[in-house]
Amino acid sequence: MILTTKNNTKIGQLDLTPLINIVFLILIFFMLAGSIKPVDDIQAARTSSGSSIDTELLIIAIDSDGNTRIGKFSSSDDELNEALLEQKQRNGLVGIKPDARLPAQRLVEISAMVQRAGFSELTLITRDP
Amino acid sequence: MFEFDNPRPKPSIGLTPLIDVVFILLLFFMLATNFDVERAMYVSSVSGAEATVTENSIVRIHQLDKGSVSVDGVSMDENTMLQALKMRHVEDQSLAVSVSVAAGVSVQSLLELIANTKEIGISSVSIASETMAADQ
Repeated sequence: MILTTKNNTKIGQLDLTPLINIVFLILIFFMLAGSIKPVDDIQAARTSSGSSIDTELLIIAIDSDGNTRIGKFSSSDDELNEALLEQKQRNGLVGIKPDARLPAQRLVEISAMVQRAGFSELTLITRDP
Repeated sequence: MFEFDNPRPKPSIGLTPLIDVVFILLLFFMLATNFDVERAMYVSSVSGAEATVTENSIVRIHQLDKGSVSVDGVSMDENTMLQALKMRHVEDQSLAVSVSVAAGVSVQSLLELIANTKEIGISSVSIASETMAADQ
């Protein structure tokens, strides 16, 4: 004879329904609250202040070795200059996303390049602490 | 009421493959999800906006190291500088700050300094091109 409980669960057998419920809830949380991590080797600096990025920016990323890239493509300083001048003609804005480990002098060099291209303001892209 | 003597057994659905798939999905989202939010910090590009404010309203900060700065040749820690800057900003709302960096300072330290300066209410912050490393 097999003993059963009210829910027809055999004694000694685990009821998996609550587990599945919780796992589904966690799954839904991760699917809705997060975003899939892009492949990006740049660890942006973490700062406590800043606003959301809401404009179309020409984003210049600088990796920890000081190499620059626009979008996914590496760019030399000359190519960077050309892109900046094009962006200036379009009346666009410029953002710099430097790696947190980068010596700050490289950021200063790129900022100077942006200023020489005629931009009076630039956006530094950071992330939440 | 009419009843069968041998009622047909209820068909049961095996949940194990479902749980397997859900666990795999959960693992994928846990590992691949990114909660980082990018922020924008607006600064004047190198010395670009300095012409719009009077010379007396510009405070030139030279960052020597993480948490250590020099203002007009006087070295101090960052917190002391921020307190002094906050008091000066109360008196002069048009106060602008120009930040330069010594060799070896990381981007993280520089951006923390700029963020802290902006947090006390100073909106006009620029990055100065001269490193002044040789002077310090």
